[in-house]
Amino acid sequence: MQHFRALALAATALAFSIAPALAFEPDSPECIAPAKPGGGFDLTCRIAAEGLKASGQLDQPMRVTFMPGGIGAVAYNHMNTTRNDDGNAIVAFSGGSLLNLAQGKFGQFGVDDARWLASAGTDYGAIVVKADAPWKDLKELLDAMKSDLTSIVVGAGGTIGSQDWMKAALLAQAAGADPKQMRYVAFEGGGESITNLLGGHIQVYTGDISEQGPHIEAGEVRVLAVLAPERLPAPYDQIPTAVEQGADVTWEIIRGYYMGPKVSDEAYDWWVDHFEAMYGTPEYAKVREDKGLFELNMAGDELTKYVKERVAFYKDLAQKAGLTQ
Amino acid sequence: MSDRVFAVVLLLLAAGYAWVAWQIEVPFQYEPLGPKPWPLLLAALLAVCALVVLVRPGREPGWPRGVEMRRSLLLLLLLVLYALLFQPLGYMITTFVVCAGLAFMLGAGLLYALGFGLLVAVPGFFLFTDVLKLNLPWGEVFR
Amino acid sequence: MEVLSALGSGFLVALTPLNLAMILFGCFTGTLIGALPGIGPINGVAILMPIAYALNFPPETALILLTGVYYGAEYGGRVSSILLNVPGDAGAVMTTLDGNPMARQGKAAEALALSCWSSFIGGTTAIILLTLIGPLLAKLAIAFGPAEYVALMVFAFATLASMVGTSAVKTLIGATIGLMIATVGVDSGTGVNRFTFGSPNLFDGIDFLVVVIGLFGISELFTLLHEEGGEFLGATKLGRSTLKMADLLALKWTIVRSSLVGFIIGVLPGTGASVASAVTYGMEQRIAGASGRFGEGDPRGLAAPEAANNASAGGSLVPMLTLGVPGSGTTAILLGVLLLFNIQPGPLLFTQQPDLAWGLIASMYIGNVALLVINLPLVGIFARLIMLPKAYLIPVIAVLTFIGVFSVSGSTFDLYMMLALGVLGFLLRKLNVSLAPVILGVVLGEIFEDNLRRALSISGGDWKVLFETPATILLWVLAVLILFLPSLLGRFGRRKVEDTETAAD
Repeated sequence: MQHFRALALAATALAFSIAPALAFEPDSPECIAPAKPGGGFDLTCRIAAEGLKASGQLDQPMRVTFMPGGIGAVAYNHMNTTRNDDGNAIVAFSGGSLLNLAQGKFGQFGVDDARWLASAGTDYGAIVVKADAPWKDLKELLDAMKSDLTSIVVGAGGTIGSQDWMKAALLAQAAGADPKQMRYVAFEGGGESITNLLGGHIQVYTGDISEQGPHIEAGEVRVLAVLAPERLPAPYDQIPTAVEQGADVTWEIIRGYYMGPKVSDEAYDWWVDHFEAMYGTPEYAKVREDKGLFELNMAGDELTKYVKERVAFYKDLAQKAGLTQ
Repeated sequence: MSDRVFAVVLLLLAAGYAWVAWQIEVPFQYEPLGPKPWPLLLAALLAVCALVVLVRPGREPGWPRGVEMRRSLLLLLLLVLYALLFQPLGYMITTFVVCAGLAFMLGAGLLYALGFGLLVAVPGFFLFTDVLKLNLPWGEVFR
Repeated sequence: MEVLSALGSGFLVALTPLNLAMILFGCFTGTLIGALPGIGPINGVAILMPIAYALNFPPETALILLTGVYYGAEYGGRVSSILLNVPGDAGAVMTTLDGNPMARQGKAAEALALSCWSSFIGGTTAIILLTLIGPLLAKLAIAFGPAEYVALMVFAFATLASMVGTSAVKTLIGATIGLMIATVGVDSGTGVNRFTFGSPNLFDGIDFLVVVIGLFGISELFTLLHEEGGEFLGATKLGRSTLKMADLLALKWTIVRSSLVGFIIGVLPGTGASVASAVTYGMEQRIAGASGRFGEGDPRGLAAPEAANNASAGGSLVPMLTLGVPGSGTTAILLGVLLLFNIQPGPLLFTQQPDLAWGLIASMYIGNVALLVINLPLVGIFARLIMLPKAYLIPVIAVLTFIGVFSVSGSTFDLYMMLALGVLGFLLRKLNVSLAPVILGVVLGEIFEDNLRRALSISGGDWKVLFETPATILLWVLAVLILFLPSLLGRFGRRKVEDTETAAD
């Protein structure tokens, strides 16, 4: 009875937002990276683990565990079945997960079957060509695509319907062409794509900006455009956006975390509060920059709204591209 | 006889595989092949091989019989239970049962089998999780 | 000269007490981890990665440690392959083919020592080549586009055509089943699901690791249970514990050839130890012709894949360090390690992070020697594993296969998949279908189909693209040669024998 009253009190307190952080405290915090060790999801989890620790928001160490499968599909199903109310576990997601969610590739579950927690940061798409390519800027490339679409082979690390492909499709559309008519080659990951670009097997690579640093520095590639709404901070500040070159193409690759759909409000709010408190700290900014992500801070309702908008946007894109009915 | 049965199973497998492959639909593709022809080719190849085996079967293998058959089935059953209960009951309990059970079945003395099971289950768990940092289940029942 | 001074400064990094200790610790731990049945280099690196990270090591130390583990596990992997017929990863599958028969003939210690030396020579050759012509070879890796990979795979299939075993049609069945397993999952060209039956667990396909551990590890349990020989494994005698120098010298060309070919295959991103060991095994079998007893314990069939898989491990560091592209599953994890330490490998790594790049290379020279020194004395101890009573050995293998799969995927589904593949493997073995072609089908099939379709996407459907570059033409010619050369040589050889016989008359 005593116990029950304490709970009720806590709940009331929470309702009035007097002390929301006191009601819940994770006893064994865990970040699930829905991939094998060493990949992008692993990095996303490390950002949370290190960022929360460095900024003093989390005392205990956060475990990083792995649950590979289907760009997050296996983990999404897992969080909807076995661990749907686990307040200790956050799961990393990416723009790629949202895109698959939008195309129904996460099985029976949809965008409402998770509590979207917080973002880690973002990356942006980039249009990359070899340093000795004939096109000096995006306009020249688009003109070349306009005059003969099939003379230019675009390649990237994703299948039809993936993020990399979407970027290529948007590029073709910007050139006034049908994405179905372009020459597109799907590789496995950015590494294979960049080797094929350097080897001259493909001419254009629609990748992510953060991977291009060393190749730009070595003078091997030229980035014709970054698909961000405005110019990025140094060292990428010399690269023009697609928008300023007259092509209205942006592509944001968000990275962040969600929790199971039945996680209590207390637990969810605890995490949201602590992520929000972390965002302002210089320690977090350093962790994020070290891992090659740009600033994008959203948590709780703001992120949930963003995710839902994105998924709707992706659904629309997939439909227009003829991928789904 | 075994080879003939094997050949028939392979033929069914090839047919089923081809049937599933035939159903694959793509919105569109950038190359003339797409996802279908390769699996269909494989199904055809398997079917041809199966027919060859059907016509010219090899010698009869020695299948497990009697005690051996029972042991094999018991091993399989134990392994399936191990997989089924690995996460719910955790590494320690399941490993103890599997190790002790198998060792006893294969002729170790009862006490030896129990001791051996305990050794692999408990110190083994801490060796793998704490020293080697492997990800092994504690067991959901203990949460 | 420039290279030598750079390497010299690399040795200064590698020989600091902390780094030297990490080389030895990594090699030793790697050997032990690799020696466990069902657990291979990928598990090893994945196991130690969080530790290296948590201990706040400088990046070069962490990388030196993990590369040592990678190497050590590659070395240790032969122990369970040879003694127990249970490889720890796809790269060690070919080692079982002749290594296990040798052990069963009472030559366990000899087989272990031979594989030790072959690995050492393969590994050292690879590092020397990496030091001298690494950056140059990055160009080779780049030159290989989809069409070249198609030709390379055809060449690989051609070398393996000799692996017919007792029944050609059953070998073909095994390979086809492997090729079919490789088609499960999201199609990498169009993104549609193939043979996934709506289960997200199958979207990424069936993991190599699960296939290898299931087909070999689990099926071996049933085979052990069933086979004659009572309480112990097949061989109860350890045999002579030393490898005679003459035996090793007799294999020198096999080892040299396999090291070179293994290294080159390792350099190509996308093909690693599994392809390297398979191609060199097939090649040696072709070259040996009628004189070979491959599959029944021919030392050449052990030396070739062992030299090749260690050489390819060295080779796969070339694209990783110079291009930032992993050349194998394990280097993919090592690459992840670099990223965790905020180091983006790529063309400038050698100039921007000379301590890291050259320190790593120098550490591999030391590591190779260390592995030989660590492993040779262990041969006797490892070989004694074979003396363990089956009553304890079988449960231990069972537990280790579960740990091997679960620690990487954390999924009960993969455990079921492993068991199903294990039963399949047992039935196939009983029916006289050897399992190595199944694994090779899985490995080669995906590379072949993906690249064929990529090449056709690039050319817009024109098949001529497959025969247009010098590299593709060379590989096609080699493929034809390796298919028909042995029979030509055989005919020539027979004529010569007949000639000498007539001369003797």
